Amino acid sequence: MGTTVRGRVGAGLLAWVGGLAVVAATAHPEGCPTITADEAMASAQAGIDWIAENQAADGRFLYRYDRDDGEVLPGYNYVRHAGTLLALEQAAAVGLDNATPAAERATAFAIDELTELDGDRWAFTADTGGTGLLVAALVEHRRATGSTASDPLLRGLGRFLAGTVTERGAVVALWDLEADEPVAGSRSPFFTGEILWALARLHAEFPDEGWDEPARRISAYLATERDDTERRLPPVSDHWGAYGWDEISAWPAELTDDELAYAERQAGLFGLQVRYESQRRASGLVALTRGPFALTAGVGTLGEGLGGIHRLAERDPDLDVDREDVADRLACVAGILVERQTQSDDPRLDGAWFRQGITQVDDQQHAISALLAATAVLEDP
Amino acid sequence: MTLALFVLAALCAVNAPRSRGALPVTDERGPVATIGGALTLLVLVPVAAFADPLLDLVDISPATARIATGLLLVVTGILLVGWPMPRPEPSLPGRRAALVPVAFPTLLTPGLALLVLTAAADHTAVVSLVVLAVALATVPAIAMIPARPPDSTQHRVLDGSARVLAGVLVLAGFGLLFDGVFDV
Repeated sequence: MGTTVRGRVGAGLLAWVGGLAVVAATAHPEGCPTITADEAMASAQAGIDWIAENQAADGRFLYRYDRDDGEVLPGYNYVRHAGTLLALEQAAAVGLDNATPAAERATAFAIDELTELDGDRWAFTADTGGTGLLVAALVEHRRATGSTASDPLLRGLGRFLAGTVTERGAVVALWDLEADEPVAGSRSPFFTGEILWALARLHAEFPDEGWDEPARRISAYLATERDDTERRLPPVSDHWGAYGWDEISAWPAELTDDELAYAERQAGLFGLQVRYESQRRASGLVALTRGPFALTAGVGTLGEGLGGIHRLAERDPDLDVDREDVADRLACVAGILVERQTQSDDPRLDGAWFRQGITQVDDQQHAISALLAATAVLEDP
Repeated sequence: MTLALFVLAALCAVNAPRSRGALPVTDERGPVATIGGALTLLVLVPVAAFADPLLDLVDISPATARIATGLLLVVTGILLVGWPMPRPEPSLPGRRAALVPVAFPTLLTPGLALLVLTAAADHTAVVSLVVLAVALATVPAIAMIPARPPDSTQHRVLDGSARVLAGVLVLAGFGLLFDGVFDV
């Protein structure tokens, strides 16, 4: 080939075929179903109904369910209990049905499980992130209802959380409740952001009590040291951090350049994952090149993270992100979630998100929170 | 994609020292280079003008398109570092050599087309086409240098420059790829 003009043209066309093959393998179409704000709310309502319908009388949630075998799988996670309570409170705050009674039962369960520590400190199990999310949920309830009944508890939980923050701003992930001391070196990729957000929320509610100091210490650590010290790869996709920075900027307070730069990197990380997820398909060649759908909990966290970045960008002009792109990715998450939600006459299935036949309560938790966050960027019909 | 990265990638994708190899060794070299560049520009005008609807049509975001373009430029650059320089023959006779082999397949590569497309999505079609025109103008500019025998220093310098530009294209491709990865 290449010895005649025709051969040369053919070689050029072959190069084009090869080039387009590289492009096709790299950039698959991004499927982002278009939905309205009403459809997102309806989807969130269905998720809330699944949680409430399958909640036990003691306030525990149906934790894990296998659709194919029709059986409840063993296990329970208290951090996810608190996270789901948060989603319920967020839903109750916007008036979704069934969220309030389910949240009341879940709160009662959590309070029963609290451990009192010296110094009027309260912990919701040894996983410190659970206490962080319980605080976030109780603050959500406080804001929605105006009730101050939980204020003493919030302060007790806050005192425990403040004690989990090291001088550098790192967060202890495990607390030995018997000995009342930190488990040395314990860290979690998500508890840091959860406790940042919890303390930031406490400062917003009780601005004269000094909760901002440990919150800012965590925030600075998170933005400058956490990834290098705790886990460089894969980078932490920190939706809780996004909630936290949104909260801090609403105090109001200015974020530092480091914090803004980290939030911008997080926005990129969320966006990349949404673009990749939107290229996935249930079947066909793309199912092989992109792999199976991600856990709904994971997809939901992307929406929550983008929601936090979107609110932060609306408030802080120094955040250098393309707001339209952030809104597009957030809307994409909502469209994906609505499309993948199960509809059925079976209350164990209806409104849940399954992956490979299994749902876990945090699938519903993160999906609901993401859908509610997305209503800000979705258009009414 | 920053404008500077686009300009660098466009200059490397056009790769004037390499493209010079496809020009005829006659007095027609200058006009053929100019016409070949103009033809390439002409073909890529609709690509730039309809970049947004094209990407919408295939449901690909500009950031993802940047990743694909970057990867393509990396592959292209790696191949061209070791690939032999193009030759003037076989070609269409006379000034029609501007079409084959100058415009196609030498200048009008998938990498350059994708680069113009993504740049138009990022910077508008006008900016994309102006930068492309500047990059393509380097081909007739370098064609003005009188030809020397194949074993001359000039030949070796042009060959080396072409391979250096191909190497820089690899770096620019990585730049574009990471730009797409870290974008929202």
